[in-house]
Amino acid sequence: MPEAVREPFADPAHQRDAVALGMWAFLGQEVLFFGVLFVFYTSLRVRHPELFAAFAPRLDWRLATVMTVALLISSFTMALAVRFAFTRARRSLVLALSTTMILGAAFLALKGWEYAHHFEHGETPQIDLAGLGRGPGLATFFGVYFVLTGFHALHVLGGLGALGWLAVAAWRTPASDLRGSPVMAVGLYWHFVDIVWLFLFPALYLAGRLAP
Amino acid sequence: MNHESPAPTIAAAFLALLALLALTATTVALAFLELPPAVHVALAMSIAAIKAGLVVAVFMHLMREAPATRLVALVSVILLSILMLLVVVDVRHLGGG
Amino acid sequence: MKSWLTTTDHKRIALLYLGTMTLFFTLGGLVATVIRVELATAASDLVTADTYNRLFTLHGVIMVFFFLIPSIPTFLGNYLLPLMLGAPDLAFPRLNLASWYVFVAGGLLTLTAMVAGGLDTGWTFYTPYSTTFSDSHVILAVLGVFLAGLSSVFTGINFIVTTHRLRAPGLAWLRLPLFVWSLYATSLILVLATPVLAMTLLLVAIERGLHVGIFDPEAGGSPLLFQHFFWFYSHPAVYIMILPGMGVISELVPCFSRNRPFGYGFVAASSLAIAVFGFLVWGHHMFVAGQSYFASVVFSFLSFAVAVPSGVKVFSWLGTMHRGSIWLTTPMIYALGFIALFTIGGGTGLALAMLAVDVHLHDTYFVVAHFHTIMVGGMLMAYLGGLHFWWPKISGRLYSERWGRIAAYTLFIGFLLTFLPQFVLGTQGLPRRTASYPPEFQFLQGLSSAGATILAVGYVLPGVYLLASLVRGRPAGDNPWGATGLEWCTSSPPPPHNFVRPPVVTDDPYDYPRAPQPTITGVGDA
Repeated sequence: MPEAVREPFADPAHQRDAVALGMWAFLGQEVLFFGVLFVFYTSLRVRHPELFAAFAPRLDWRLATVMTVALLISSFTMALAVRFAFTRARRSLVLALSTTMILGAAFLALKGWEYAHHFEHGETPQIDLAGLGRGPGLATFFGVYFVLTGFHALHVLGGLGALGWLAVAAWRTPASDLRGSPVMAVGLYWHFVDIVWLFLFPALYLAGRLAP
Repeated sequence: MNHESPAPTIAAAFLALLALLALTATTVALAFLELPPAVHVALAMSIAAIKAGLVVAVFMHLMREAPATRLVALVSVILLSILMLLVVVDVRHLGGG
Repeated sequence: MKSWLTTTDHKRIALLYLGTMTLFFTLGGLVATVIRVELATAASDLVTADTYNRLFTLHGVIMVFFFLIPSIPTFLGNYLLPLMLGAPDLAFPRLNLASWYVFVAGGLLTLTAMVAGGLDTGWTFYTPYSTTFSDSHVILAVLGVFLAGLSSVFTGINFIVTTHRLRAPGLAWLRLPLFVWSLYATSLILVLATPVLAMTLLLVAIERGLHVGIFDPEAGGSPLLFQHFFWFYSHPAVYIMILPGMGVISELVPCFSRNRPFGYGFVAASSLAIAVFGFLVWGHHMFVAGQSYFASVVFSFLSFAVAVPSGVKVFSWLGTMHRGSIWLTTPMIYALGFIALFTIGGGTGLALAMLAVDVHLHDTYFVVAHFHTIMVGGMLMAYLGGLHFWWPKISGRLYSERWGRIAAYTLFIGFLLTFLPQFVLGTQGLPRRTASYPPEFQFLQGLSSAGATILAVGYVLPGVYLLASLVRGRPAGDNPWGATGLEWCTSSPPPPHNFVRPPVVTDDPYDYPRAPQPTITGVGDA
């Protein structure tokens, strides 16, 4: 039989405090994890600004704006979910978590549609292995685009999994047993993923001058 | 008991959401203007940083956390700045590809 | 068996790590043996040059990512941190167990890559060789190392939160044992540097597997960018390896000098200073890689700065021994070995940090000798010193002090004989990573291989007498060395929740004039 998990904490406030510190330390490493991608992006943009002027207009800024709005609203509903978890409002909690999930899923669906669209038009990151002297070009730009947005999308997907787990747990748990810390931890993660997108949006979609 | 909800009140969260939406509209509108590329980038990234700050302060209630927690968050951002700065300095000094 | 695999007790998880890492260390050591045998003669006669590439890569990857980086934190740190803080466990016990499983998964993936045909990129995975030209199992290996990194991050988060939130009443920051300070500084690096390596390795896998031109200059990418990312992690990683070792030495020297540590506050602060400065020097690995001249000058200058806090530690150890009453037990012999070898390793590091000198010495045996002096001479001495110091606490048994001393001296002599000749080889210009070499280097290479034989004996001995002590050793008692610190206030081995009654701290640490008398008898000069 597995040993019972020992909670080394004296009281819930102590535990919440420790979970917050642990989660922020985790997000600190996420900052550096995504930071590598942004340094990659910046070094490319410094060396080859012409690529961004030429190819950024191929990205659909209207669609991206809709996706930004979806993520922002999902952050709002996530903040509400944390509040409901601590006040043990079970029905509101399940509702807020579900809304967050629907918005996150909508974001991913739009992202998938966008990816499919790019692949249809040959806007892929694969470099031509055979062609010598091919130089920086469309594949370079779409390389940075797919790598950056891809890692972000994977994080959204992970967040959806965590939210689903929370929602099921909240559905099954009597209101009096609800614990705020897990919801808060997932919430911090979700907001962080939102922040990454807040930088990706102007970095990629608004990199060239927009035309009406 | 201070394990009361660390999350923002519904009103505060809603105000933050409105501000974030307004800033999104602003950054999109600015992208239509005819400005030097450097100014474009600086404006867009500044607005993104403000939005990130809003999310951190309101949704992620960082200011209500313990000093150690705030320090960890700050250190990670400083380190990323160091990496970014020194790599960009190196790339600039090399010039070209 | 099952109760071990599902345990959340930090002490058991520490022992799981000990077992796993001993296996990896043995494997890495066996490969090192093959390498030294090959180098005993000038021609490449035992293995082909291609196999030799795979061997030194295997040795490097296993030793760096699966032994040196996790060793002291995940074994001694995991075992001792809650004990030293007076806590019942780490802050997140299940995360701790998860970190071990992730570590094992990473190890298995890497081993699979090695068995399936090996890896020949060197442990540094430099592009474009790793992404485009190598025909070995790069993707599998980098995913394995990625998982090992994830495990490091879990451990680091756990240590940071535990140190902040689970200190016993009265245990203020300036009363923390110096080992805890060094673990805390190490954890900061683990959490904040490892993700950079993790993402970089994933980018290598993406470039290689999906043909995205991230580091490929032909497609607008930059191989230099890879080196920036890699060393942004891998230089701080050197401090991940050595800082916990310094922490161990800072425990051993006061105990066996029966003296308070000289300049406690400076030693504690120097751990944090090393962690901070360690992040600012990565470019000194890239002096001849095509980095801009400006960056090289900046990084060379910063590299000298990091030597200052390391020097503070050495002075503290010497100052602690000064007017102390030195007791030359097995752990203390390791501590003295560490101080000597770390000083040699650190000094030669400064030579390499000089821009002009490095152009000559880069990629020669001098570099090999330098980092092996820090890693094997320094870190491994500290690891073994800590293992011998806390073994009575962990096992509840005393090992043979006579054999302990013999092994410690054997290791020290074997080490010097193995690596001092390599410094000379390097200054004579012999490049590293080649299976064959011109015959005029035969003598020094032979000397080095002979030393490695002695070194190997020194590694096998502790394995024998420590295991024997489990069966035949006398009971150790709670505090055989008469040491201070909360871990010595509980039974050996400690009960599941560490302390029968939660301890309360009322005194400053290392109060050696008033410490309990050692209970070990019959070990000679006690």
